[in-house]
Amino acid sequence: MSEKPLIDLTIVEASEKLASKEISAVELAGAYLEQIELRDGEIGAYLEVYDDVLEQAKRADEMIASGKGGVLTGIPIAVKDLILIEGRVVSAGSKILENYKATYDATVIAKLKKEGVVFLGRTNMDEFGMGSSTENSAYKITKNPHDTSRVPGGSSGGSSAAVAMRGAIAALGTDTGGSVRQPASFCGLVGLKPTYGAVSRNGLIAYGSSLDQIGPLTKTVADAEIIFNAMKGHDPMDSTSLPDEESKEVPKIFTVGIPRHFLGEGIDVEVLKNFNESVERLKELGVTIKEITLPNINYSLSTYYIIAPAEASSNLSKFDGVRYGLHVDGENLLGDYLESKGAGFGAEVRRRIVLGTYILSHGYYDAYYTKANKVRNILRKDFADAFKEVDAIMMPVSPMPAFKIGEKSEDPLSMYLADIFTVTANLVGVPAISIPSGFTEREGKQLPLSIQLIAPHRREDILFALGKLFERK
Amino acid sequence: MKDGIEEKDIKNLLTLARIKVSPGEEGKLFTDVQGILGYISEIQKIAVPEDTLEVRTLVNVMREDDTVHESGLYTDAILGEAPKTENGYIVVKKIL
Repeated sequence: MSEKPLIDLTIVEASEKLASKEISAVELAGAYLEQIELRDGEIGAYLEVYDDVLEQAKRADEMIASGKGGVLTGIPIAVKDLILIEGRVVSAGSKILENYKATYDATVIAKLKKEGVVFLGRTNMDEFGMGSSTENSAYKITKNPHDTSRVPGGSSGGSSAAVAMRGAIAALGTDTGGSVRQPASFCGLVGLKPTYGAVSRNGLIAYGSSLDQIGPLTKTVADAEIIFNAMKGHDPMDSTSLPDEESKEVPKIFTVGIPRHFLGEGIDVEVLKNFNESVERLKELGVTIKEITLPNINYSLSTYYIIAPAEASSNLSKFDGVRYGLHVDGENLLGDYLESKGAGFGAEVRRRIVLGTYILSHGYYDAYYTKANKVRNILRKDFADAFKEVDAIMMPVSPMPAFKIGEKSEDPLSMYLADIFTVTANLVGVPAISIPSGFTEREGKQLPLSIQLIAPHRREDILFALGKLFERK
Repeated sequence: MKDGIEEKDIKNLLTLARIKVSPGEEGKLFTDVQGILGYISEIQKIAVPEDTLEVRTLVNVMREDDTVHESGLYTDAILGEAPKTENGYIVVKKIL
């Protein structure tokens, strides 16, 4: 049997080869740099490939040689352009931060640096995370490596495309309403959105602060678990960070709930067929399937598209051309603000700021924002009730496979509807994972499909155990 | 609360949000926002118990009010990102 190419290794496999000195971190990083050189011109996954990748890899090799290496030492990953790495440009996919250099490391970056991770570069994304296709980047369109006429998903579409084009072993993304899980699904990868508060948001440029989480995009569930374990933990720099806790026992036999009532109209026929086959697969694996009701889940998307823009309009008000980022001179100070924001924010960001400003304005606040928060609490209760009966809930990730570039970019509402299955986990704060479940053929191309598993708060362990079971089959 | 959004509201919202757009863009923003509001307004239909917001117990997370790092440690790096500075201060246009 021929040796697996370096760029096809999983983290687990590469880690073993690095530890046994069969390969060096420099060789591994070099293989990825070559692949990026070969493929990224067409795909456009990266906004920047760092010029010191091989030096980083050399330091990782030294760590391994001195016996200080861990499972992630020398592992080359890509990072979404929303997470701060000290001294490097981080632009949030926006013109307003085009030349902004991070002045500190995000907590997750500091943790991964300590492990000796090699950072390949920063990946393209929808501006500030606002989008489901990466078409809202201020810089370029990223193409899906499975079919270059289609989007890689979003907002972490550069991260998913980087891994899918074999240009990174894994990548970091961020998930506010599905932005890790949906691009992972469109590109045939595993994508994890951790429990809200499990992974520190310190050093993550904020979009919707009560929803945002950093998560990994990987080739396997085991790899996602490794990155999650390296990133998680209490951080005093993030006031919503959860205290550390003891690991729990994973059930021996799983019960998975299916909200059948929510899988009605609007779902692609092939997506639904694959979902039903996946349910059968789980049954064959000894998983008990139970039909459940989530009485108010139909309101999730509306609730999300009230809370997220409201938080965004507040979070993004700080970009004013005064302290950092783009500055465009106006007649006076107000003119500076108007010109800088006008030149710096793209169409979707403006749309959400205007929407959020409306939602939060006098006379509408109670009808929209307060109401949405009440519905959010009801959704939390619905999920808590469901989890009394089941260990996890299963849904599709996306109602359709990767769509065409340009198909939804002119109609914001149709783009929002693509998030129907992913936003609820963010509203409720529970962890959710996207796992490849097969393919569907469109115009002669094989497009990946995925299932989504959702677990109770802090039960990523259940997602990993169930995910590995499903993946092996 | 009046029903729906009007085109002139967009101008006010843009002023509130301090964003200058080209005149042609206001109409497009109006159409988009109106469409989105039409959809998200469905949450008005859902009946929620009066005390729903009280369900959650939020706690303040505080830290000790002490020195976290040596004064001035990050000043240069942070000011280095500011568009205009003078003697360790960020320069803005005068407002009076």
